[in-house]
Amino acid sequence: MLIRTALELGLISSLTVLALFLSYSMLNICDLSTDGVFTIGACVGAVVALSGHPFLSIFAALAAGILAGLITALLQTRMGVDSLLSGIIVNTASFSINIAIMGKSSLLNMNKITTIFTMLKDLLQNTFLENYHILLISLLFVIAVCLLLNLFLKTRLGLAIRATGNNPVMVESSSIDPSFTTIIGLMISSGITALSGCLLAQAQKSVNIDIGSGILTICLASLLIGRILSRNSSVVADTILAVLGAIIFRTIYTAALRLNMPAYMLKLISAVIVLITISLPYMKERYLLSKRKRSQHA
Amino acid sequence: MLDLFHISKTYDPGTINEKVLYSDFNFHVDQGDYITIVGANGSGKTTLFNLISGRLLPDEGTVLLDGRDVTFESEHIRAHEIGRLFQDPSMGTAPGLTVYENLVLAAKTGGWLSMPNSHDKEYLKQKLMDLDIGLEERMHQRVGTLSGGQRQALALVMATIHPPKLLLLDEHTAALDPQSAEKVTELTDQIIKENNITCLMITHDLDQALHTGNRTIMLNEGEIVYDVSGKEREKLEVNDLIRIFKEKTRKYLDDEVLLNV
Repeated sequence: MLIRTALELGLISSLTVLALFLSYSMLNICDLSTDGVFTIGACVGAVVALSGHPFLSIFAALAAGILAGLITALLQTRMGVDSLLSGIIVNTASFSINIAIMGKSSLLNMNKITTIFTMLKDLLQNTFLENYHILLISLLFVIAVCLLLNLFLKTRLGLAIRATGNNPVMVESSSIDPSFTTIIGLMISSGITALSGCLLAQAQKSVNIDIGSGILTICLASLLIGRILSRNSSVVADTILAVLGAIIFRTIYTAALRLNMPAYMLKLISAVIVLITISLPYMKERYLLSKRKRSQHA
Repeated sequence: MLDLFHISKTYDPGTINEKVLYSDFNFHVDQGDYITIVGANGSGKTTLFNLISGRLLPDEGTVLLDGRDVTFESEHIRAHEIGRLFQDPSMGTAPGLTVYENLVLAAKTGGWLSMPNSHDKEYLKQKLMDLDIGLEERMHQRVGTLSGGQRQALALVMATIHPPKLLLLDEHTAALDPQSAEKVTELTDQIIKENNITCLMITHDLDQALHTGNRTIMLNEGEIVYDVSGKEREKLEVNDLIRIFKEKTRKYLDDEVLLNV
């Protein structure tokens, strides 16, 4: 039961990890609007689902995310705002937007309505898969997004997006506008992030304004766990490892909960994981240097 | 085919670091020219390329390419007609992508959402085989794993896969070991000849400056202090060029140049 919950949450958040794979690993942009965009997806999704359209809810969340990504990208590419700052601006603004979307409320309850998850649950009633509706749907979305993302990254536009984070000079030399590839890349990644938020909202049948808070750090930790396992062999392998990273992160976290770690420690743990994975290579170098210094003085 | 009219460019205007690099600079390049450019560090050679390629916008003046005013055209648009190679081999390629993926981007095969087909693949492989340095066997390796010479050779193919009207070579062999430098120079000359590309080459190698191309210009503090072509150039030797440089600038060439002589 606990493992199942870990898998469910791991799979749903792995969509955001895939979004970060595109923005952070490929485009080389740390998109700080992620928390806000995740919440936008959850809020828009919830409002549309509450109006009786569980499927439309998915597409609405996706569209809202794409729009948010467009705004973040335009701030960077057309208005001269630094990439970190434009993420922060969109993130802050999204708080008010989200409250407005939820009709001046900071909480929406979806207990009694039909979601894509309850629909499958009804379908699977009295079968051995009865309690696996969330797992199955999340898995389906993760496979679909993974597949489409990998196909996309093989197209010329996908390659151009990968090259933009890699060497923007070469991109311009190839007659490609790097601000165009940045805009498309952030629109797609924000769309996927919002989709992830929408699925979480539908799965847990409620949204509050804090649903996305800290998701960037949590998913970055997952992404970096995946990266540790990566052999740099191919993009396909790296996307699968990104999903795996999310599942590993949630499993460790769930195990820690079993060992009586309080639930509120989640964000501290994810922060520490991000810190360690990012600074470890640097710290290692400094350690080796100080060792050399000492041996010379001895 | 290329004209620069009354170009002015000042760095950090209005500060104590203000440096007037170009003022009322004029430069004409004929179709089919292969011009070598020499000059000390800081004489404005790379800035000249940045002004031509669109990386820098001049404060005043006009840039005409084939009679078309491109002064305000951004770099990626001009890149359709202007190819460029840098001294640093990593500038011209994306290290995280494979050799093949780099070529696909440069070759502009099909639309944005298209994937290269087997025909494109054969074509790109052939381009690598033409180089005759075994790159075709590394098609699916990341460019970051290649040597500087291999990267520069790849960058050369990428810059000329659709032969540009104008090719800018910014000391593109200076960072390579002598053997790779020779190979890349040979490949460059071959590609330029085959496609009849107009070319500007910055070099610190005065021997190369005199024996490649059809015209040599010497830049000093944003001015062309010496411009030679035809018969006069044929008679010129490296020592003459050094003497002329001293006369024109009353400066000694920096060590970098002397070492290359």
